[in-house]
Amino acid sequence: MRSLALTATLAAAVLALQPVSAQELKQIEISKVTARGEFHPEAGKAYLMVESRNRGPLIRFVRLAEGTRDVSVAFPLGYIELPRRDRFANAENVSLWLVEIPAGNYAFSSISWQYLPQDIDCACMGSVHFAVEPGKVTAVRIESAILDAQGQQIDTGNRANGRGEQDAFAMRGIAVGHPTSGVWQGRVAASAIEPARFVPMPELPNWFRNQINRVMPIPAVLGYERERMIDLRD
Amino acid sequence: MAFAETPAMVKDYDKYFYFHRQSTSFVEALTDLRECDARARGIWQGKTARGEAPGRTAYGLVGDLANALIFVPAQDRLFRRANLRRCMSFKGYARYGLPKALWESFNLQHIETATPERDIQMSLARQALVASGPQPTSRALGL
Repeated sequence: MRSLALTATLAAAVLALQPVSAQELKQIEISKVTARGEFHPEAGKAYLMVESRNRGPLIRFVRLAEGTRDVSVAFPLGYIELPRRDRFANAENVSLWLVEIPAGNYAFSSISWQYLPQDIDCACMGSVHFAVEPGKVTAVRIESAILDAQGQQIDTGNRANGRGEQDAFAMRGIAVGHPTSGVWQGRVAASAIEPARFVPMPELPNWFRNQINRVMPIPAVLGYERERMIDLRD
Repeated sequence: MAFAETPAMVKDYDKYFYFHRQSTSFVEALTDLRECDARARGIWQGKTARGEAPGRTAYGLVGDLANALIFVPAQDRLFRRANLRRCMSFKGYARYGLPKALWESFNLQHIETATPERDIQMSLARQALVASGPQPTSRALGL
């Protein structure tokens, strides 16, 4: 009887916990590119190439409606997620993804190493967006590193500073830029590579309820005065 | 904010701390704390964004219940503190450690959905008083 009462209480408690619906951001289908020899883009198709020194990171971009500049007019059309284990190429500690995606305007949204809630960083307090155009391979580099207490970056992917990747209080810096490794050379036609033209984006909604963070300053693109993003473009 | 530091207290500085920024008014500090608190509580989201349900576990009803009642709230508290720290650091505030008892004198240990907003705002106001008050003499903890 007692166990029945307990079960009833538990059931009532579960029912009382009305699940809050997940928000409606839909995942956009993408397809991994495979190529024998050097890859050349097909006319009319758009491609995104991402380089990272993190181990199998989960990286998301949100496709934005044209004209999106900041949160006040942000209208997401959906998101894409890189197939973290399905790389286009890799060498030593560098991974490269090459995917075909719908042409459009994309904002960097989040990155995770361990796929745990406390490990997913949203670039909510400072990100960038960029155009992905047909007939080109838009190239970006996205990677995160644990920072020490003074905010200095430890080598990317290095855990050895007393802060583990699973430590909720570890401060991570998100580096966004253009590929620097050259892993793509010989695999993707150089003439097709289009380094992403980053547009500073001071605010991004926390669509996935991740830990708040921001991309680190990008020379000639963006910097910060405290929390205020500074546009450094000419 | 004077107290005699012990090694046990230092271990808890990840949880028990206060913010301070030089040349900052009470109103500025309160505005910053309110914004960061809103972000930390996960309500700084897009108009279409809503929360997610506690996840299902592989341990049946009891597992789901424990997850919903114990682990998820604990995780939420962890998130809140971590997000608050990040947001306030971006705003240029330094962080200083406190013993738990002193911390609890002007902070809320648990903020649940049932916590009256008035209590939360009162706590933020007290934190803003400290954040805009005299320069701490103890060492800043960093990120």
